[in-house]
Amino acid sequence: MTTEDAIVFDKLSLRYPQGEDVLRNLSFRLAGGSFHFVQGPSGSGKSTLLRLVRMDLFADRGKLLLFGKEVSSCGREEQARLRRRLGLVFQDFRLIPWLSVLDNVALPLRIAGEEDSSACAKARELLAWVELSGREAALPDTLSGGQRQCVAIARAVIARPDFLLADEPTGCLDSGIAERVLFLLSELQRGGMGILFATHDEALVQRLGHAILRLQNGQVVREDGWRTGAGEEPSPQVLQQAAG
Amino acid sequence: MAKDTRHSTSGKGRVVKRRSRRRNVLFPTAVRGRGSWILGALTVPIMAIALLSASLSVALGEAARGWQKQMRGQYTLEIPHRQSGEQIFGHGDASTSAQDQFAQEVAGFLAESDEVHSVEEIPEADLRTLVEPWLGVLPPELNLPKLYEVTPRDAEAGLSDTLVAALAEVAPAVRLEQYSAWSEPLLETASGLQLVSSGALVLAVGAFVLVILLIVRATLASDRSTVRLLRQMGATDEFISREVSHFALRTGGLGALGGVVFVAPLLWVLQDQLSGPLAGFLGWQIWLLLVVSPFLAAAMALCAARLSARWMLRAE
Repeated sequence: MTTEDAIVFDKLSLRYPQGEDVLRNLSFRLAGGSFHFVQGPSGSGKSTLLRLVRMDLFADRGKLLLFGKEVSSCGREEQARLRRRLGLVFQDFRLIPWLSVLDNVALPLRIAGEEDSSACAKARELLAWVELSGREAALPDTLSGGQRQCVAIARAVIARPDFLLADEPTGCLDSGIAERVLFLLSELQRGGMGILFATHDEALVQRLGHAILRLQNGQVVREDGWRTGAGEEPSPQVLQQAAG
Repeated sequence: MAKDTRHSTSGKGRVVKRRSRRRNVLFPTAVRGRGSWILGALTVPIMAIALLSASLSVALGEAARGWQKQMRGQYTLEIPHRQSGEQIFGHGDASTSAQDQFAQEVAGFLAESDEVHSVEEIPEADLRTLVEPWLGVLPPELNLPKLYEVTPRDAEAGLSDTLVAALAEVAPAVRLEQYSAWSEPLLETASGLQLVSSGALVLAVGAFVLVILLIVRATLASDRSTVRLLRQMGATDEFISREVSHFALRTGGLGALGGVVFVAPLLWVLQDQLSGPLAGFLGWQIWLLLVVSPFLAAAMALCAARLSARWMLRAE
């Protein structure tokens, strides 16, 4: 492992109780600031892999290192600290329905113990970035799917995490909105944030041209354009499309 | 979060004014959940019972202390009435004047002693009033024994055996009784009742804490997905338990306030109705207890909720 490695899978396997191995003997490294796709059909283990990274699940065998720490040996407080270095974006948004958009976005800062006034100011800035100024007081249910995903992205990045885990973030969005979401993620990556993006959409993966980790039946079957350095750029066409 | 009043557009295009303010992350589901208000409402009768028990316990304690202080070292001198023709000690007949004279002599004998502070006759009218609740109105022709209240100079030491023996020699049929002979069973009864009310208080407080635990458990169960999301976002058990305990804090405080609303008028009425040995024992301590109980209950609910939430979160 180098000091730049943010996420390291070392011969990692996971089996659900009374089931087959979901992930088998995975070994790879992701550098800080990199953009990687995890691609594969449904049931290939993409979401499970992301759940392992966010410590929602723990491996049966092998090691997972996050920012240089082996997660299975971390205590609850240390795990919480590591989780705060990750941003999460889900396909189903997972916004808290009874909190306003502003409160949803500011939540990670509240968790981190930041003052309300400062958290709100930052949340407003981010809402402006995702073009949702003026909707601060709205409840999530009153927003469209695309707007909700933008709120989710704002929430995921407000605490300036080192790595963003995106689990099918464009899965239930129409193509125009999906491009907008991709544009936002690319902007974040250009700012130095690492991104791990799980998707089953082959066309999307091909268009963006980032490194790809292909999964099938819980195993890595192919790695395309595998790079671990920072500063990868999305393809100019996508940026143009999103901006347009 | 900070207050933020904004105009926003509803789904139908209407402009609605919404107020965004800091909200607890977890409790709303518990509040909105069907029937969950029952748990909150349950704290009102529980706290009313707790307050009544506490008031009774304090009042009985105060009463017992008052009686003890008032009666410590006191004696009753009883000079029995004799029928006509019966011999009275040192006197040949049982006429009223002879009896009065004899009584005065016995009282004088005691009053002259250095050990005695005072000897006061209890008026016959008072005696008749005292026995009225048990025996009804006594006919005037029925003679009652003469009673004197004897207060020793030293309440702790009481009267010496020498003096009691000397009195027995002078007037063998006269009875000199310490108040403690009859006040001790009363004090024991008061202590027993105080123990029962304290037990009821402990049970009510236990029930209150259990309701709070139920609320915490219900909140964590109904908001399981939110708890998981918060954890994924890096929230510690401390943060989550703090969020849960906000609701418990409010429930505890409001429950106790509801209990006070029920109990205070009851005690107010009771205070006016109490007479005899219990009069005046609903003192300032009880009113102070009513004032501080919502704060105490809220603090207790907060601690119980926070500790139990942390324990439940760790056990998951």
